[in-house]
Parts: sequence; C-alpha cells; structure tokens
Amino acid sequence: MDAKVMLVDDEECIRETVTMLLESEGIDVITVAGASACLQQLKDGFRGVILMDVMMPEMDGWETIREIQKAGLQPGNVISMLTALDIPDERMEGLQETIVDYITKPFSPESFIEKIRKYLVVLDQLTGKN
Amino acid sequence: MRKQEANHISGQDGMILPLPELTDILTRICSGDTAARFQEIAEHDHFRTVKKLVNDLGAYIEDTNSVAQEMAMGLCEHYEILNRISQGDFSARAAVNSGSEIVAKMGELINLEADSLTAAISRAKQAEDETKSAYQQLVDIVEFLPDATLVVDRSNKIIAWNRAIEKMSGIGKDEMLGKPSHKCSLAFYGEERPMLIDLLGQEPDLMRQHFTHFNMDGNTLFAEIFIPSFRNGGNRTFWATATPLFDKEVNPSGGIESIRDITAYKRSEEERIRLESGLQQAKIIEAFMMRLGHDLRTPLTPLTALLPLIKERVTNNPELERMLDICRRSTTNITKLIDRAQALANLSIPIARDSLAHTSLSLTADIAYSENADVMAVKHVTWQNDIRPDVIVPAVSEQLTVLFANLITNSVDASPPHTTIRVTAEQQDGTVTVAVRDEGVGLRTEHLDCIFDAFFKVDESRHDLDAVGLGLAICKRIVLNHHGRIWAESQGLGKGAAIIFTINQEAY
Repeated sequence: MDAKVMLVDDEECIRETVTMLLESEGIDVITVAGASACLQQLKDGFRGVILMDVMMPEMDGWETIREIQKAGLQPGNVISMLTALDIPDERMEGLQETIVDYITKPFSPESFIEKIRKYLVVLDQLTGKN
Repeated sequence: MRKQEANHISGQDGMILPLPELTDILTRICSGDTAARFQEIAEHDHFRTVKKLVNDLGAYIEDTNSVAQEMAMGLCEHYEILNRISQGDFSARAAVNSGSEIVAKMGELINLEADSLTAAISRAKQAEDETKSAYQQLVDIVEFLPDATLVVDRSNKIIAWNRAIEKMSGIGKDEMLGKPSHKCSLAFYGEERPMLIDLLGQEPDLMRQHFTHFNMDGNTLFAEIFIPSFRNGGNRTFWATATPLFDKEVNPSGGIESIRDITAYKRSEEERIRLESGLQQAKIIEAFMMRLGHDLRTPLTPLTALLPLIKERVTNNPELERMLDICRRSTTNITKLIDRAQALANLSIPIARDSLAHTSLSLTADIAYSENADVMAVKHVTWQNDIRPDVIVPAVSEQLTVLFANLITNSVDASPPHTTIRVTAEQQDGTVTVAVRDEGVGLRTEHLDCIFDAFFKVDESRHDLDAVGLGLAICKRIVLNHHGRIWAESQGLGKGAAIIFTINQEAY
C-alpha cells in the first residue's frame, strides 16, 4: 500500500477535493466514507496520516478514533481532525495525545498542503525514517 | 379608831370580829381582783381558818383565771397569725411555746397548715410565673417575627399586630389592637374587604371570590396577592398564610396570619425564567447555527480549495479570470458571513457573572486596533486612543476586543484617507461612556437607529459583498450582554459618525 494519507469523510465532494489537491502535489491518498471502512483499511495494514472528519452519520470522528485505539491500530499513524466546526469540541477530551492537529473547513489549498507536508514529516519521524 | 370600830363588829364576848374585812376580800375576789388576800393571819385570829380558806379560794380563782387568760391570749395570737396568713403574709407562723398545751398544739397545727399552704402557693406562683414567662415569650416571638403578623381572638378582634406588620402597613398597633381583622384590609387594599384570616373555615368558593392564587392545606390557607400601587407606591406581590388557633380543649380560639412581601423574589424569579428561556432559546439558535455553519462550510470547501487551482490553470483569458475572482470573493464573503453569524449566535448566550474580569478599556482598544493596523496604514487612517489607562470595567475581555475591533473596522470602512479614528471614555456615576469617532462618510438621521440591526446595510444599492452587515449587530449584542446601551451619532452625510456605548463599572 503506497498511499500515505487516508481521508475519512462522509461528504463525497470533500473526498474528491482532497484527492485532487493531494494528487496535484504528488501525494497518494485513499478516501473512505466512514468509521468501518477506516478500521478495515487500518486492519489491512494502512499506516500514515489520517484526516478524520468530526461529524459523520455512522460514527463520529471522536468515536472512530477511540475504536482505533481500542483495536490497537493507532501506533504508526498521525491523526488530524478535519472539522467544519469552529474548534474541536469537548469530546476531544482525553484524545489530545493521539491527535496532532486539526484543519478547519473551508481551507485554502496552500494552507492545506502545507499542513499535510508537516504531518508527513511527523510521520517519518514516528516511523524512524529520515 | 372610829374606822376600826366600824369595820369590826364586836362579839358577845367582846371580841372584835373581822367580818367587814372578810366581806371586802371576798367581794374583791369575786369582782375580779383575784389577787386580794388577807395579808396576815395570826395564830390567834378568829376565823383564821375562814381567812385561810378565803385566801386559798382567791389563789385558786387567780390560778384558774391566769390559765384562761393565757389561753385567750394564745388564741388571740393565733387569730392574728391566721389573719396575716389569710392576708398573704405566708411567712407568718404561730408561737408553739404557750403554757397551754391546747394552745401550743393549735399553734403547731396552724404552722403545719401554713407550711403546706406556703408550699402550695409557691408551686402555684411558680406555675403562674412560668405561664406568664411563656406567654411573654410568645408575645415577643410574634412581636419580633420577621414576617408581618397579626393574631385575632375568637371574635376576630386583633390581639397582636407585630412590628413587621406595623412597618409594612404603616399602621401602629395602638391603632389596630381590638379592631376587627377586616379593618386592616384598608391598609393593604385601600378598601374594606376580607383578609385571608377572615376566610378561615370558609368554603373555597369564597376564597376564589377574593384571591386569584390560593391554596389550602387542611385548615391552613395560602394566597398570593398582587396589589397595584401598594400604599400609593409601586406594584407589590405578597404571600400570605393564615391558620386557625385552638385552645387546649381544641376549641377555636382565633387565628394567625403572616404576610410576606415577595415582590423582589417574584421579580428575580421572573428574571431567572426570562434568562433561562433566553438561554434555552440561545442554545437552540447556537445549535442551529453550528449545524448550519457546518453544513455550509462543507460545500464551500471545494470552492475555496479548488478555485485557486482553476485560476492557476487559466491563461490568457481575462474574462474567465475575472469571473473566477468574483467567485473567489463570493466564497470568501460567504465564509465570513458564516463566521460572523456563528459569532452572533455564540454571543446570544447570557454572560455568567463569574466570567467577568477586570478589563482595561484602553488596552483592549489598542489590541483591537492592532488587528486593523495594516488596513489603516494602507488607507492612511490614524489611530488616536484617548482612554485613560486606569479605566477598568468588569467585562468578558474577548467580547470587548471583538466589540472594539468591529467598531474600528466599521470606522475604517467609512473613513477617507488621511483622517483619524479617535476613541474616548468618560466616567460618571459608575458608568463609562465610550465613543469611537471617525471623520468618514457619516450617517443619515433615519439610519442612526437601524444600523445595529442584523444584515442592515447603509447603502442597499451598493451590494457591497465585503460588508456582510453583521458587525454592528454583534457590537450591539456584546454591549447588551454587558448590560449597557449602544447608539450612533452623526451630524449627517460627510460629517463623520460616532458609535457610543456604555458599560457599568460595577459588576451586575
């Protein structure tokens, strides 16, 4: 699996936008629409940057991260929240150590790419590359 | 010698007989002179034995009289003691050392009875004292009860009218004691009508005729009473409760009514309900705005993210580039609009008292200025902060910063180059009046009041997409959150404008 970024978002337009932005920068990305597909990707071996939407119908971003932790699939991943809310809410409590950052929608292409590149550097440090 | 002769009758033998003396002594003894005696009785005296007998008789009578007299005296003393006791001198005691056994015994009996009587009277007095003390305590309790209280007897005459009710009604107890209870209704209602205490034991229908809000719990009545212009003052609300009183045989003996002025409580309760309702409404609005914001931000994301990429790929097509610019600006403005609408929704939540902090107006104004400094520099608009650094107000400083920032932005937008924006503050009677003045386009008189309405724009024809029309609405909300006022002043178009707001220096 080559992709280093996984976007978890129930909105198709966001999935397509992020895919176009990252691919234009030469960054491989996989997108999934919800928690179960995300967990499946992790079980199948994905390790990388996870961009997690907060408000999703099946299971929200916070619960999904707790499920990832419970399944022991968190190590080797850098998780950032992708939120249309002003700030991450109180449900983030206890997850500060797991989540490195958050990106607020809507975002400009420059700021978005800049953040992703930073996460990839963190990922490399985490996995011992570099 | 003639006298002696007269007193002695000569006998046949020539002896002188002592008959007159004998008669004299006997007469004296019989007349009460029991001490009369023949002083000398010689061996040769005639009637010697008679004389001795007379003397013995006299002695016997004297002894007998002495005992009788002693008894009589003892009885008199006992009589005196009994008299003293009957007149309340319970310490009086009879003598018990009389020579007469009967009198002494009688004295002992009197003393025993007196002791018993004294003990009984002492017990009765103690009980009476306790009763009096208990009664006084009760009177004191009623007198000093914090609630206005009146007590009536079984014929509904007022027998207690305490200090609190004197103060509440303005009528002293001298005027009310002994009067029928309904007379005091004049003091409360300005007319004669039944007080709650007058309706004890009456049917609920009668209660309904006189009290809108009432309740009953057994014999006890409760009523809430609204009295407009109470004692020619403001509207007051009272809470009254009345309950019957019974004696120890459970016979009705009167009633007691307490009245409490709950006007302040009612107002604070209404305020609390209003705030709770406002808070609830604000929460609904906030939740709605959050949801709306989320739902609008998501579809905006592709526009915000992809329009710049599209523009990069368009070359040599100025018309298309212009269209893309318009789309980008619109996207930016929609994002701003969402941000501000959410900010306005967030500000709808009333400020909690503990979130107020001592905030420097001057410093806050400077912080807000720094957010606008770049734009002002470009427009050559000067900033002049004339607020003294020691002007401190209780405020949510973040909200105050947003307030100043929005006012400055508003002024900058209206200011032509090379003008000044000046901020001042005046303190008076615990209120600070802050003014942000510009030398810009000014305002029409008819617009002065409505510029604080959400989405109001001064120039509708301009359709200025950069001005979303929420900045001053947010300012108004922040000032209201701090219990202040906000208004605009302008001498007219082209003559500049001032936005002025007040803020309390005392925490509310």
